[in-house]
Parts: sequence; C-alpha cells; structure tokens
Amino acid sequence: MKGLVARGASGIIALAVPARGRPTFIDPASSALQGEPVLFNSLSFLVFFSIVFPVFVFLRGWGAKKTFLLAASYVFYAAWNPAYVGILAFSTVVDWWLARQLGKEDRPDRRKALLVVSLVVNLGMLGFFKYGAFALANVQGMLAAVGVLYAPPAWDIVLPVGISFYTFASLSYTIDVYRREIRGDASLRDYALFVAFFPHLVAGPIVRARALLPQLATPRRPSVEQVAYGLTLVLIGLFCKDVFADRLFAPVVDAVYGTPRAFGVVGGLAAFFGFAAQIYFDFGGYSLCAIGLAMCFGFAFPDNFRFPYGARGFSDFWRRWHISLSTWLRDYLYIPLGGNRGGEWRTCRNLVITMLLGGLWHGASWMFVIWGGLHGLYLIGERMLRRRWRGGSSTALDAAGTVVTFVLVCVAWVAFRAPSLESAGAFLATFGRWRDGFATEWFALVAALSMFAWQWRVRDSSLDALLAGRGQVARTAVATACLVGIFLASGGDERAFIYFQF
Amino acid sequence: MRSSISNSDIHLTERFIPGGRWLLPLVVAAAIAALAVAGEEFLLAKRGFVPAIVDSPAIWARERARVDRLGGDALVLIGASHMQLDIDLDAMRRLTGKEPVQLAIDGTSFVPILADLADDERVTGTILVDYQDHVIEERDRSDGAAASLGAWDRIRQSGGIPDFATTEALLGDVLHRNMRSFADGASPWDSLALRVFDERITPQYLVTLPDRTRLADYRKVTMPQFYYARVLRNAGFRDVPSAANWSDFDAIVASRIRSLPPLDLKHFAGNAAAIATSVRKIEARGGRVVFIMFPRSGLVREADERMYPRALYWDRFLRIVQAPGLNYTDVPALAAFVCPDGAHLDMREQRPFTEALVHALPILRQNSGRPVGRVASAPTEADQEQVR
Repeated sequence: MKGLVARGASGIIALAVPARGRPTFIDPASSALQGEPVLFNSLSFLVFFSIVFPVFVFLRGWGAKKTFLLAASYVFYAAWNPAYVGILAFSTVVDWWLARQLGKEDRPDRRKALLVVSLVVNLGMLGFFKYGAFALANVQGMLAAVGVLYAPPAWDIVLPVGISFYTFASLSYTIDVYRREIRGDASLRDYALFVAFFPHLVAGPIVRARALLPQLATPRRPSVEQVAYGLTLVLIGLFCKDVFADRLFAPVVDAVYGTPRAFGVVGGLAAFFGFAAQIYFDFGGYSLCAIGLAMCFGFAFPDNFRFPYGARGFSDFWRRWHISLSTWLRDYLYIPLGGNRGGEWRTCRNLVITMLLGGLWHGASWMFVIWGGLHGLYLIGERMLRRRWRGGSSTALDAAGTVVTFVLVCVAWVAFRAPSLESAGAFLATFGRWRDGFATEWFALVAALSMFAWQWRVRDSSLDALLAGRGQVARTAVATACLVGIFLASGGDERAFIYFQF
Repeated sequence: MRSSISNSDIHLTERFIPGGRWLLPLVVAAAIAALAVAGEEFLLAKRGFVPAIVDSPAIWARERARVDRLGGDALVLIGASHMQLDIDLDAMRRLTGKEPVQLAIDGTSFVPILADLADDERVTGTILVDYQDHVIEERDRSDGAAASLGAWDRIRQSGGIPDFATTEALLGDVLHRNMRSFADGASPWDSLALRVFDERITPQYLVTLPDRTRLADYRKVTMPQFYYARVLRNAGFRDVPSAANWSDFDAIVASRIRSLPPLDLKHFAGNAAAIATSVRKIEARGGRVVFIMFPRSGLVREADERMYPRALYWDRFLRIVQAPGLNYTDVPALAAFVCPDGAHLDMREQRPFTEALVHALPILRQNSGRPVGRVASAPTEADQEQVR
C-alpha cells in the first residue's frame, strides 16, 4: 500500500539503491535470542586471542599451559551460551570414561556394549538437539497423510553450536580405541582439551584423536617464525571470509535467492557460481584460520580444503572438499558399511547411504538430504563411467571432466542453498529469462569463474607450496593486502560463518 | 609434492611450514596497513567527518535495561526517527526532572516496544510515543524492533553475565566512537569509495550520539533534492516527475499530492484497541503514556494530512486508546517549527523544540503531580463497532 513504508531519517539514501532482500544464514531474531558464537573475524576474538596467546607463552610448565588452554576454550564456548557448556562437559566426560573402560576391557561383548553406549549417547544428543523438531514435523506430516491429526509439542530446544563437530571428533576417539588403533589412556585434561580446543571447537576441522592427543602429550614449542606463519594463515583466512565470501559474493547470492523473480540469466548464473565461491571462501577461510591459530600454539591441524573446484571427478572432489568430514564418513561409516567390498550393488548402496547421511549432518532439512543424494548419484555415475570407459586419457578429456564436475557440484549447491524445492525451482527459472545484470552481478560471475580457473591451474599444489615459492616482498604484499582488505571490509553487515549452523 | 601430501593427512602431527622469514613481512605489513588506516582517517577528518556510534540492538538493549533500573524516574521515548531527531535529552532532563531514555528506533513501529514495556512490571515511568498513523495499521510489524527486543531478552536472561554479542557491541562502540571510517555505520570501504575518492562526496549530515539521540545537519545536504526525495517517498510516489525547473517540479508534485485519496486502514480501530490494552497495563502500575504527533512541513505535511485525515485517524485513535495526546498542529509554538526535509528538525532546532514541547505538556513539567489526563471524548459507536 502506498504510504505504508518504514520511514527513517537516514532511509533517504536508500532511494538510489534497488530494494532487494538479503536473507542471512542465521536468522537475526533467533540468533539474537540464543546468542552468537565468538567469530574469528570479531573484535571480541581479537581481544580474546590477545590475552590467551601471551599468557600461554609466558606460563611455565606444559601442564599449566594445557590447563589454561582448556579453561580459555570453555570461556570461548560459554561466550555463546553459558548453559550449554554443561553439554560439552558431559559429552567429554562420558566418552573419556567409556574409552578408558574400552582400553582396559578384553571381553568382546563388553567392548561392543561400551562402544554402543558411546554411540547412543553421542548420536542421541546430536539427534535430540539437531533433529528433534525435524523428526516431529515429519511424523506429523506422515500421520496427516493417513488422516491422523497430531499436533506435536513446541520444540523450543536451542541447537548447541558446534555439536556436530565436537560429537564427531569425540566419536573418533571411542571408535579408534575400540578398534585398538589408539590406547584409551589419555588424561581427562588432555582429552577435554582435544574436544574443546577453541580453534576447531565450533566449526571444525574435525580433528582426530589419533592426531591431536599425541601432540598434547608432548610439550609444543612453536618458533617465532611458526607463529608468524600461523598468523599469516589467519589473515588469509579472514580475507577470504570478509572480502570474498561476505562482500563480493554474499550480497549477489542473497539477493538472487531471496527474490529470484527479479533476476534473469545473468543474476542467476552469478548466484549459481557465486554460491560455490562464497561457501568455499567462507568455510575454507574459517578452516585456514583454525589451522593458523592452532599453529600459533604449536599444534598441527590437517588441511580441510585442497582446491576442490579443480577436481577431476567427484571422488576427487571429496578428497579435496571438507576433507576432515569426508574422511570421517569414509573411515567410520562407508568402510564399516562394507565400503567397495561385496559387489557393485552393495558399493552403490553404501555410497548413497554415506552421502545421504553426510547431507543430513549439515542440517535438519530435506534439502540437505537432496544435496547429499545428488552427490551419491554423482559418485555412482562416475564409478559406472570409469568401469565402462575404454578410451585413454587426454587433455581435452581431463578438461571436460573438470568442467562437468564443477558445474554438477554447483547444481548440487542449489539444493544446499535454497530453503525449499519451490525456492530452488524459482531460482533455476532465472536461467530461462534474459535480463541484463547489474555490474555487481557481472563482477561476481567473472570473479567466481576466475576462482574456478585459478583452482584448476593450481590443483596439484597446495597453499603452503604456493607461499613457499614466494620471497619476502611478495609475502609482505600478501599480508598487507589481507590486513587492508580485512579493515576495509569490516563493519556494516556482519555475517556468521555458514558452517556454524551445522 | 611434499607439502600437499603431508598437510592433507588427516592423522598428521606435524605440519610442513614454508621456510624463510615470516615475522619480518608480517611486521612490515602491519606497519603499512596502520599507515593506510591512518591515511584514510586523516583524509576523512580533512573532509569534515567525525566519529559517531552505530545504533545497534545491543546499544538499544543497554538503554532498555536503564528503564527497569530507573523505575518511576524514567521518561521513556519510543517511536521512530522523529523522536530521535527532534528531542534534546539534556533539555528534557533539565525541564522535567526525569531521566530520559531514548528507545526510539529509526524506521520502525513503536507497537512491539510499547507491548514489551507494558509486560514489564518494573516499568513505572512516563512513556512518550512518537505517533504515526500508518504504524497503527501494521500492529504485528516487528522488523527493526525484533532484533533490539531479542538483544534485550538475551541480556535479561543472562543475568548480567556478558556474552559474545554484548562484548562485541561494547568493543564496536569504542571503535566507532574513535574512528571516522565507521561514521554513520559505513564500512571503511564505503568511506574510502564514497567519501575519500568520490568528488561528489556524500556529506555526513547525521550523527548518532552515545545516548542514541541523532543530530541532523541539513545545511550539509543538497537542497531541494533531499527535500523532494523525502516528499516522494512519504507520498509513495515511485516515479520522479520531469520538470524544467524546481518551481515546476514543486507544482507537479503538489498537484499529485492534492489528488491523493485518504487511505483506508482497515485494521486501525482494532489495532488501536489492542494498543489501549498496553496503555492500561502501564497506567495500572502508576505509569503514563502520552502520544505525540511530531511536526511535518511543506508537501510532506500536506501528503500526510491527505492520506491520513486527522478526524479519521489521530482523533479516533485518542478516543479509542483513551490516553493523553498532543498534536503539533494544536500548538502554534510547535507548528511554527520548520522541518528542512519535511519530516525532521535540524539539530539547531532540537533544544527550542524540546522546550516548547515540555511547555505544551504540563504533565511533563518538573514536580507536576497532576493525574494522568484522558481525552474528553469517548469512543463513538462506530469506533466500538469496528473494534468488535
């Protein structure tokens, strides 16, 4: 209705700007009520790190350093919601105790029972907090389909931030102890620090007990150059998040997905490829920050991304994308299901189950399941193709494989990004309309395709290797660009890291 | 390659670190970046920009907490931009003997804020409401208020323990109070692109103070474009008429405004009755609620008066709500104020306007023990019918 508009003194400036929705990944109202996790790209984290790091360095004794890091990690988590520290502590103590019993126990039945308890407790908590409302809504829908009216109780349970990450990290310990791949004799302090260490606590990477517990057992003495390199990685990660993900791609992606009918093929393609770039720079940037921060304290985290859009095929993609999750799913789900043993049909079944559950891990929504299902189908298709392909390999074939992989990965991202099938359909309909794009859309499209070309070019390398080949002037230029870029992109619209919601 | 193999191993316990120096480049980069930031600050200062806080839900929630602490001594200001731009809190404090708390939020509805105050037993002070007719029609609209109320709920539930959001708001506040690059809520990139490099510089005509008062310096904006932009927006005109000169432009816009019919706000009476419930709750605790129609000028005033005729909306609202109200058109001293953009006062008029407003509202004056005044006329049968 004319005249029924929000009127603000400063709103006059908005006259020159097209009004487009900018939905955020975390609902502002709900996050305001539930609190927000500490973000690495925040002033609070800068203050937190500025206190924690010097104290860690000047503390004497490895035990004291670990106790301090554990306390700092719990403060880091409590800053989101103090009440939920109890859940983290409960999960930690239960798994530590169970693993200890597993380590001492030799009777197979009893060992199996202890493992089942660990699985039930961890997956039960994850299911309750993350999938309770989803399950109730689906039960309600199914009953309604057969004519039974059922009104489930209101499910006002807050999803503890990072629960998917620390549950999987914690499970890796009890399962590895059950398999006798590691001993279950870690001290409670070491184990608690492994689970809660703040660089990986709320959004990964999903660090394995086999990797971090041995590091906690012996004193870490990071050199000055190691700390400086760690901080450089943090700067690069923050630059990826603040400049590329939030400032370059997110506005275009949010606008097109928010009001797809206002856009044509240019806007559609910009968001189609732009979301691939946004989520890579968002999550890849976060992972890089986590690796760099851990390095400052002397700890080694593995790479979580390795130029994934340069992948030749989908099995290659999953060796490069969210490596800590894909290897977790491989080691603790796909292989226990039978892996590729037992024939073609069972292999395909195992692939689909793994990818569907991998999709569901990302959130309680059928859209994530569809995303996982698509990747399951891609992997099966690739497997079939490889079995039947009798031709050799060539540059053209390699190029075709890389392009097809990237485009199909982007197709799957539509299901990941769109809140519903209807929304995904409306988004895809933009490809059927010719409408020239704004400069921001063209820019995002060109930037996303440039990112793809760059990842293709450097896919057989790594960020560390690329940086190793640079001299001091280039290193100074990179660090300066990151610092200035982070400053210029700061303020204004703050976005939580996409992967906090998982 | 060694690095890519070893650093991708999920079970690695040592990372490959590229050799050579990393500390020196980092230190040099930090120095260059500090110089770049200082350079931007210097150029912005040279162009007349000053640091200003960025109004946020956390800052609003901090002020909201004061209302509970102040109890009956609080003079709570709610509504939208008129309340933030037209009222001088120091003058209000001096003249009323009460502690003013600015809870108005630019471009939002007062209704959810009033409901929140009504539901809080500790709110026993006086509440001044920046009344706008169109807001009553959209009673369930929460937009900007939702985030602020969410921040307030979080503070209330946390029992005063600072969490990330409040700490971040506090640190951000310190930064905004001291750096010009963030003035008006801009990002440093916006400041660089629009204020340092652009010759057609966007002036900083609006400054938000730590107590959430806003100061508008309309001498800095380009007139009459700024005024007409406001007129077109308030009147709901999307297309900009073309004219040979400003005089012709004014005539075209005025002619269009004169043809505007009164709007039919179907939920107005029902929503006003719901607002009355909030008012009664506050009055039952000894508090009081006063509705104020702030000044408009020129074509903005004309458009408002045509779309929202007083008899149809303001008068009817007061009859339904049964609370004291003050319309600027009833007080010559208030009607004499001119809004440069048609809807808000210049910062130089804040103090005289506040003094005139308190003078026009006896129940606000210091040591006023007068009971809450109600409008004389009762709701008409038609009003009651609509409420039903």
